[in-house]
Amino acid sequence: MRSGRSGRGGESLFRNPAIIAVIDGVCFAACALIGFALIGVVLALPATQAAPLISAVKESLVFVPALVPSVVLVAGVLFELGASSKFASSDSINWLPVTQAEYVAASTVSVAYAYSVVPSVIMGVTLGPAVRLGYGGTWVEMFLLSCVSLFYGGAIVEILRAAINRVSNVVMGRARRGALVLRLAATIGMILAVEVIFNFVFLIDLVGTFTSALNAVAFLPVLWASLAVRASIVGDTAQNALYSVATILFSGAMLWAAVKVRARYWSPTPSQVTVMGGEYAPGTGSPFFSLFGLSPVEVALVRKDLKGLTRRRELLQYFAIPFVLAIVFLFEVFFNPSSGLGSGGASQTSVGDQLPTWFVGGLFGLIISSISFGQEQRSASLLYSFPLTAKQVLRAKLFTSMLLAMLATVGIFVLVTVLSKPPPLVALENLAIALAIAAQEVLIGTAFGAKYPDFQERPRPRFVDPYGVILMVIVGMTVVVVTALPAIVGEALSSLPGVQSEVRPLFLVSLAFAAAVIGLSYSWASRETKKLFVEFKW
Amino acid sequence: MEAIPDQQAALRLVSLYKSYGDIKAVKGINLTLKRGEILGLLGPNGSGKSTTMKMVLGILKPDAGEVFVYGQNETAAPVELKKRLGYVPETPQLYEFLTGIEYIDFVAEMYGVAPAERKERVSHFLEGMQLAGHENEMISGYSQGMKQKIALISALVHKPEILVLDEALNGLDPRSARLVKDLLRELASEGVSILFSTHVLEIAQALCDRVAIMYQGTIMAEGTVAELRQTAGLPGSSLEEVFLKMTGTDDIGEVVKALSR
Repeated sequence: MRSGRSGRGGESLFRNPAIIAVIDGVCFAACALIGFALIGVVLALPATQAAPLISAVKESLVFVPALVPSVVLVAGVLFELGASSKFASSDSINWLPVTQAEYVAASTVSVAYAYSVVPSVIMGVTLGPAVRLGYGGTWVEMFLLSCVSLFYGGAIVEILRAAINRVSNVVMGRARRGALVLRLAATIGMILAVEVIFNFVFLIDLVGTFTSALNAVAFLPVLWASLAVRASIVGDTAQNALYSVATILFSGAMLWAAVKVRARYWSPTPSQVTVMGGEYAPGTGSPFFSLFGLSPVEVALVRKDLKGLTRRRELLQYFAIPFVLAIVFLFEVFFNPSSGLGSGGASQTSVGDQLPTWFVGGLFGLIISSISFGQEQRSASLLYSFPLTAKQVLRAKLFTSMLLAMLATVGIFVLVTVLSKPPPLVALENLAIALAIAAQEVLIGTAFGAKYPDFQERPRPRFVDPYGVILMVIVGMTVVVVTALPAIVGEALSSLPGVQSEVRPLFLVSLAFAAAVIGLSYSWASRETKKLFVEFKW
Repeated sequence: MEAIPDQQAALRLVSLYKSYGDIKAVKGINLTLKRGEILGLLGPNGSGKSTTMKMVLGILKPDAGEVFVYGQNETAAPVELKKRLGYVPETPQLYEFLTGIEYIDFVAEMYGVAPAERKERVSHFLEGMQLAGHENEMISGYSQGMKQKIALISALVHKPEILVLDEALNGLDPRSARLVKDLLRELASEGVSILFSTHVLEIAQALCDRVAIMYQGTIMAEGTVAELRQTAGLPGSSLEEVFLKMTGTDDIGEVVKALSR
């Protein structure tokens, strides 16, 4: 439970695992109030308007027990992907006198407790509707089944952890450099799958069809809790008892399986990865990177950082950001036809179509640059001992982040442009703004990363102090909006008759603002990097 | 203890102070490393040895005092002077996602060592340290001793004039430890100056030209082993006995009795 906290610093309220119970209680109470208020509004509506909403509420009650373990699974898998590989095998559990069963049981409870805020929120929101609609007893049963579901979700996470550990070891041990590419693709694929399954637009669509589809998939154990709740709603006691008992038995089976899988497949030692073979040939730099005016030392730093980004398990998830955000955008296109994208034609050339490009490129640039210093972790001490200047380190870090952010921006831009088919001039303007936004965000992210680095090594490293992350996102997203605003206003004004040619240059205002932000943020990043390299503090 | 003239000093620490909050780690130490000398820095855990070495390397900034490398103040030209230093930390924090050879290459590039010059040196080191055949494996899978060997090779790849070794023999197998000891003696005979910290007093006795004993952030005594014996009033005794007397930890027998109860 304490694995995510800092190894240094004073005691903090948020380092105490008991705070999770407090947060759960507060979330439950707040959501219950919201739930009571919402159902009050629904019941105040005329009967004809309230009926479909009440029906939807009932469907939601059935959906909850299936949702809880899924959310725990998603969070658990993402947690595992974000865990530092350094801690994967040095776990003291490998040598402490603890049985597999004791470990798995404790870890399952830990996972369930860590994510207990999810059922707290869900149960809080559904309490009001359930009570007001006369399903108080069903709500209590739903609560208990959700708790059981939470635990088997935790047990499945344990199974996945052991399996991922073994698969990773086997693949990394045999596949050499190909394994690194494979792991990168698999990580992005896994995060994308999670994103698809839990996309809100997709979920809303799913809830509508969920209850009608239940009978067809009643053989799936993850749905038994939902079937029990549905049986309770319709007053079918026998089915209710049957599925409730089956859910509890399934949880027991998952816990047993987790113990067995851990005992059989856990690899206590890290795999040995051979990246390349053959005779030693010293690196001769990179002519490509040198084209950008980087010195050999800076090129070496860039190459080292790029290797780290593709090889370190805890960094792979950052690569998935543009893909995940692009998927969200595509969902919007396919599930919300009113967005206008995808149909093409001159009438769909709104500058707003480019908002995904600006935000995806910007957010990715902001995040990937913010971790550039913190991801060094304690190895950062090496940079202090090498004959390097702070400026050289800054230039290398900026180049790496800028390269990745620009590639992501151009990729999303091409996707959006193909779908929205704007005139060439508009496309060029949009691209210019997108690249300017990405550049600004990289510089802002680098400055925050240098000011608030977190070099701590822990099971789930942060790389940037959370306080810095909050400030950075507020500043970064504000800058994106302000940069985009003149272009959006220009677009709106250009639709007025007779003013199109006069207002088009408003996009130049966006670029001028971006240039000013780039200058200021480079200066700030430079100052922060110099301060950071006075001495190593971790 | 006679003063060492400036022109003979490779490294000179003048009134160095460093605190971590309320803890005074280093309290105004003065120390000189002569050219071609192996100077052993001995002291119990927490005596300030690693902090001192990190200040020499520029990893930590002294609260007060100065570090001179070949007579030049390190703060005046840190990059140029760092090129003349090689460092092996107590616990090497290597980039574990790189292979051994990629890491050595990376460090060599940091110091501007030409590829042609690197190839022969690195190949010899890999053979000598028995790392040949493992150089293309990721460091994350290395044992502690293998990581230590990579750190040692990296510290030597640019032919430093001053070597700062913080417990550099930790985790090495007997053959590699012997190899490193012989190598250090050879380097010293070629003019390389070595500041060497260790807990293993036998190594210090066998390897070091002079020894400085650090305790609670200060240098308690400095000189050859013979001079230290004189200072401690223990002629004919081992360095261990001298060390224990000077650092006030000669009550070990009592502690062992208490622990074994």
